[in-house]
Amino acid sequence: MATFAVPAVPVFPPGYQPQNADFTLWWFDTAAFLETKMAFRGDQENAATTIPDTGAVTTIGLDTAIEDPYGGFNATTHLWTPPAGYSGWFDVCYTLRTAAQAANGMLQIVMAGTYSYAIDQALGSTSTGAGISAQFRCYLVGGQDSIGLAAQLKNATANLNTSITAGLRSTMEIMWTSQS
Amino acid sequence: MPTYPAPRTWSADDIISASRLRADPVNLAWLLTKRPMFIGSQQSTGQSCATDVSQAVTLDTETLDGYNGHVIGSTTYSPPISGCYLSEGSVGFASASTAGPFSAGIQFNQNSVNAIVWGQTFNANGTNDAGPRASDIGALNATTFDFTNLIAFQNIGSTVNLATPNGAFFSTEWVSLLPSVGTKVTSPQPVELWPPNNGTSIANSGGIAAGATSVTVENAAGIVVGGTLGLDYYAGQQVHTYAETVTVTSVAGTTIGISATSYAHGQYAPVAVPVSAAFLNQQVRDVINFLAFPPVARLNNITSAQTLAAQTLPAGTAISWEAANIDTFGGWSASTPTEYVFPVSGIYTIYGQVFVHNSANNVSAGIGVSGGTILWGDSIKSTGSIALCATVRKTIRVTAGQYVQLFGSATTAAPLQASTASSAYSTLCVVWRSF
Repeated sequence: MATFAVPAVPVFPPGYQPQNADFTLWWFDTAAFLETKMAFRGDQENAATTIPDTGAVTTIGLDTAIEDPYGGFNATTHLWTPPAGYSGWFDVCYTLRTAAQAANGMLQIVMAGTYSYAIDQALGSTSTGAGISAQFRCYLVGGQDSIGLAAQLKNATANLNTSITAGLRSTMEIMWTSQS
Repeated sequence: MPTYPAPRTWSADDIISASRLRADPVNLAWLLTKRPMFIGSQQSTGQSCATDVSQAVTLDTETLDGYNGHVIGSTTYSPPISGCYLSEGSVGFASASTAGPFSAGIQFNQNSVNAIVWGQTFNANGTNDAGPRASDIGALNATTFDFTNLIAFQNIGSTVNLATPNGAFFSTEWVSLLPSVGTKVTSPQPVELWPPNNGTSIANSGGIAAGATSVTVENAAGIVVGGTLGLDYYAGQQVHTYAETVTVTSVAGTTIGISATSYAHGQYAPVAVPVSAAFLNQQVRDVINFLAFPPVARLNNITSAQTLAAQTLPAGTAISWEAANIDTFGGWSASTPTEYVFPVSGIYTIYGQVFVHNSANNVSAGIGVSGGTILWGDSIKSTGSIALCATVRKTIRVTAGQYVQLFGSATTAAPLQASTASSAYSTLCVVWRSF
């Protein structure tokens, strides 16, 4: 996918004979970015992560960028960072998928990276596989802030592995929403 | 304050004035780069939630409120401009020692009428704290003082406080104009560079013959279907007596389909690419209208007797929709009730929830695109015989004509919730985000 310049509210000065390059700045850059917003979609396809039954917050090893035109994903840290200059408000969408868990375990999605909020927790299914999904909006400073998916397992009696089966994978999707 | 985009339709003799440009692109850029959006949370209140009461959540902390739609300490957000809003939130209950149901809901107040729809709902086991979440789309009219907010619910038989910190998170985002005022653009085009001042030139070896319906140019910037080209024109002036204008019928790279020429034109002949009314209507008016009124839908199943058969994940049952509360591009049809057909290619945010009735069960929610692998979200467990709601939220890339379905899967047969209160039912929300 194409990448575009940072959008801005244009200013059209009166009494000025513009060149076509002026319209690139005034309209094309902004409209092109608003049509094709910065996005990241990634998941965990290659190696499962073990979530310990100690309750420790564990970063999920997202390893595959399905779509990352701005190149913000780091497969080593499993975090995504918007490029410098592209600060803004982002919509972050999480799915945490694991194997079936023991009866009393509570699955919790925790943000990784710059933010560490716990944003959804529920009793995971004890049949076939467990999962929870969540969403969060946050401000990310381009080139500086990062975001990833972490999980916590509470009151469980055994460790729990994430799933890497197609359709049952943990995912993170990030969408630029607004500048200010 | 953002203003409704209302872009003009350009005519051939219109002057591209600063005032006209300010009235169109500036309004849209203002609206979408400073989008009406609220992000708030409850951090310090530790709000008390009585049992079996729908409790509006107090938001004591604002993270973003660019247009002052919320007052710190209040529960509601009032939009600065009318539109469809995507409201979402999660509730973090403090530990409770008794098992019982917990839920989060989204409320929209429309013209003084309140409507809560419950999202993720489950029966906690009395060992763990619960953190349900919810999402929903509603149409809010600023002139009738509509509002939206987050609702918490529990029914364990005693009061439960929200956690401190992080007792709740709530956000709402303007996603489109109201269906009553938006203008649907069925074939939105990617924005193009403005035509170069000096135009371009013919690249066909030997030029083009009289009657030609295609021409290859050196640079296709600014050339759009419906626009005009001036063959053997330069800087607005004819450079030959056989200069002529043609209408663009197609654009494929630098190969331009045109209305048949009356004359032959040589290789390297200048081609003027004027900023035509067609260019402005496609590249300014239509782009603005589409971005301000993209595909957005909310489908519901309120009264259905549909039952989820006992299944083993990843098998699932597609949910049938009974009606569309919002469907800006008509993607849903009662004749194919499980499908929302994407009208435009691109990235979409999808939220779905599967509400089943009275079942001690494991229930999952997932989405599938055009019969592909189901992408599962929640797979949650209830420890008691209550209504149970699993949710899924994904951001996916699709092409126009594909369709999305919401799937539910339950380990024992479970009927969909048929709610007499119309507040606990299955929904599917769709929002176009990007090409």
